[in-house]
Amino acid sequence: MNECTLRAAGLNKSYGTNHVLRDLDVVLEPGKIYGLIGRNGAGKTTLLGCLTGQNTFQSGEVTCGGEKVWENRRALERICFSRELPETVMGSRNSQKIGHYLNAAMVFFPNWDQKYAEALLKEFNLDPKKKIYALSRGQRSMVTILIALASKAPVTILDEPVSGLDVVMRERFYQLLLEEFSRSERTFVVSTHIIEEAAAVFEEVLFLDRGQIIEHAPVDELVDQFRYVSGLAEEVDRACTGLTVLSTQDMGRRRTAAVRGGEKALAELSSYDVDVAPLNLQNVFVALCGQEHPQA
Amino acid sequence: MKNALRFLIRSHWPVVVSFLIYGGVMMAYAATGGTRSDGILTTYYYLFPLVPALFLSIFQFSSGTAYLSMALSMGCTRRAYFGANQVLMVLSVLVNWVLTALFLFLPQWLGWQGVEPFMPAAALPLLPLVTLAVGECSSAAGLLRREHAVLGVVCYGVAFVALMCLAVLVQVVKQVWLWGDLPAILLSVSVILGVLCLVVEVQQTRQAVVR
Repeated sequence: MNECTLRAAGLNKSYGTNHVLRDLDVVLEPGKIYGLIGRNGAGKTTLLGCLTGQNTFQSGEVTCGGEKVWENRRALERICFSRELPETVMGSRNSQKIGHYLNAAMVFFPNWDQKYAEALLKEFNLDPKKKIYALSRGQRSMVTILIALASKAPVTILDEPVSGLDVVMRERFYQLLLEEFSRSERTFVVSTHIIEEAAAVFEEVLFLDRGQIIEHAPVDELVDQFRYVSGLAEEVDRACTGLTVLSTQDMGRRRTAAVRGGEKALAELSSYDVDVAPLNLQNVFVALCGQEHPQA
Repeated sequence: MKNALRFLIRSHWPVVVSFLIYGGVMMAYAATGGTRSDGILTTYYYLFPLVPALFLSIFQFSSGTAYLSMALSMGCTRRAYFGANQVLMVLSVLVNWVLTALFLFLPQWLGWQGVEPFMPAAALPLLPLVTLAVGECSSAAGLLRREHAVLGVVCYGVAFVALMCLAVLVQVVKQVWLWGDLPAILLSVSVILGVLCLVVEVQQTRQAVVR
């Protein structure tokens, strides 16, 4: 097994009576860019914390390269989990300086690239002497991104790195991510709410909903399974026989249905008097996780 | 543990430097005869032996509330952090003990007239253990504060009790009469509190999470 395959099996995590992760299984193969997508409160940060030994869990196993991650320095040295820096710590302002975080990263990440970190500091126009509480949300995101990229960890996880960034910086982040990926073939896992922008960067995507990974597939393969079917309600209903209808929207006599099916079943839609359109990744996510009860 | 110790030393050395500066200022004040008069700096002079304990207490509280999370978020193990923090505490106590002894005997070695020692030399051997106890209690307070604000405050009160034991032992208040077994009692109380807090540290560090 590759020493950077990150695997969770039967992961269960609860906060009191709130069962956040339920028998969750996931395998993250090395050398890919994964997108982790889920609604607010779905458990993304909890999952990432459990995968990286920063959060406890009630049962299950998390390994990296076949070795348990929990309290294992060898495994943890291969992983960087970069999350938003807190503006406050225990109710007080976070008066640590950017430089302090970077010095800590230099100590703990064996592959830390100081030159790259300095170049990113300059590009992001960040002053290492500045205190965290004095940074804007976007600047704190930039520090998160800097640490993640300069860590050169074989498995690098970023939790909502683009929150607070303006559109120009978000585009620059995706560029930097792809540049670094093409240079190093590191594994990246990026959790985000801004799905459509990031979709072009992800090779595979994981949807987290109600404590489980409900989808884990290459982006193109996943999106290819879904279509919008629109037309007269009766015709749409006939066309959708045998397909999984995820949602419908009626406007007068016209109906639009979001459906899922295999290649052959979707190809047969063309024989009906309906309009067929593809969904993008965001639409797929909303169709799967925005509804309570998918209809088959 | 080596990395965790490097991380903590980088964060802690300004504390030692601050104590050195404090010591330098106090020695200059004593050399110029300032300690013969009453005044705020004279008070600070006689608080000398408490200063390392105070600085250590503040640092250890931050260690539990902030530095632990930073280290864990960068892949440090809890075991390594705990071990490194204990090593740092012992090193800090020993270094400050040596510096305190140096500053205590410096006026005598240099022949400064009329400079009273800021603590009885007989209390010097007691300093490291009691200072360490203050550090352990403060570290436990910081760790408890992460999960239970009230318990953290209560534990910081325990650290304060250890600090008061230290204050009495070094006779910060000159009128205190260290009778009979009182030094031994105060030392024992501090050590017991320190050991109890050490147990709390082990338990809290083991289950620490980054949120």
